[in-house]
Amino acid sequence: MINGESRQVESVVASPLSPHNKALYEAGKTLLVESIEVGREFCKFMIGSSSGAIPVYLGLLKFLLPEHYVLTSRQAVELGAPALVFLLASAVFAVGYFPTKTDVALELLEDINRIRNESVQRRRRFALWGFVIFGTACLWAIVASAVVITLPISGPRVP
Amino acid sequence: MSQSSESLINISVCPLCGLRHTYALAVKRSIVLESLRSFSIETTLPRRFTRLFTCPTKDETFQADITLTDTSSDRIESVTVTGLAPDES
Repeated sequence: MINGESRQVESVVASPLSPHNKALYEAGKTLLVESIEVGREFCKFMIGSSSGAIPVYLGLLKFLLPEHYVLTSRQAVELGAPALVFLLASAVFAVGYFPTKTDVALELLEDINRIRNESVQRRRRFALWGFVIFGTACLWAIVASAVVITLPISGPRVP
Repeated sequence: MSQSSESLINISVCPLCGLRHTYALAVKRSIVLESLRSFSIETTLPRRFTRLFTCPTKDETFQADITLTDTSSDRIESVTVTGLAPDES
């Protein structure tokens, strides 16, 4: 099992995989394969969360608003905006979830590796931006809810 | 600055099938700038790397400890198994 041909390699000792190295090898394989799925699953979960947050937020607004209270157009925009931002976050996650159109040649390993890396990077970018937008919407919704709580009960009424 | 070179290594007795296999190995080395001294003694340092190989007969993985040499003019950065040697694949 000793190498003699190469100038650089002094010796080679081959053996079956040790249990530790076998476990590491399996972990590496799992990391490589699942790195694509993790981003995709996150985007999928966040599409549901973002779009689900819209009716929850609107329901909360309806619950918190004093009865028969009529919003001014400016209030309506400010209080309604978080729902639109949730929708935007949902759209960003949806774009991240769907695969891009690429031609993969299975015999070119470098191509597969490049496409895999690009896909992981792309999902990561969309997941990050989607989460930033979702976080902004959450923050905005909390502030808006706090503002609604402080609204006077005897606000502008329908004439 | 670094340079890459290819080496062939022989596994004369595969631990899985008992046959002889030859693999291509990419070795990346970083160049150490020579000192200003006019005379210097070349020193070498053996370095051991464990890499995984796939047996072409059984399509299973085994490991091999490879010993390479660092010299005073270059240092090994990475050792990658690129696959079976062209004549074997």
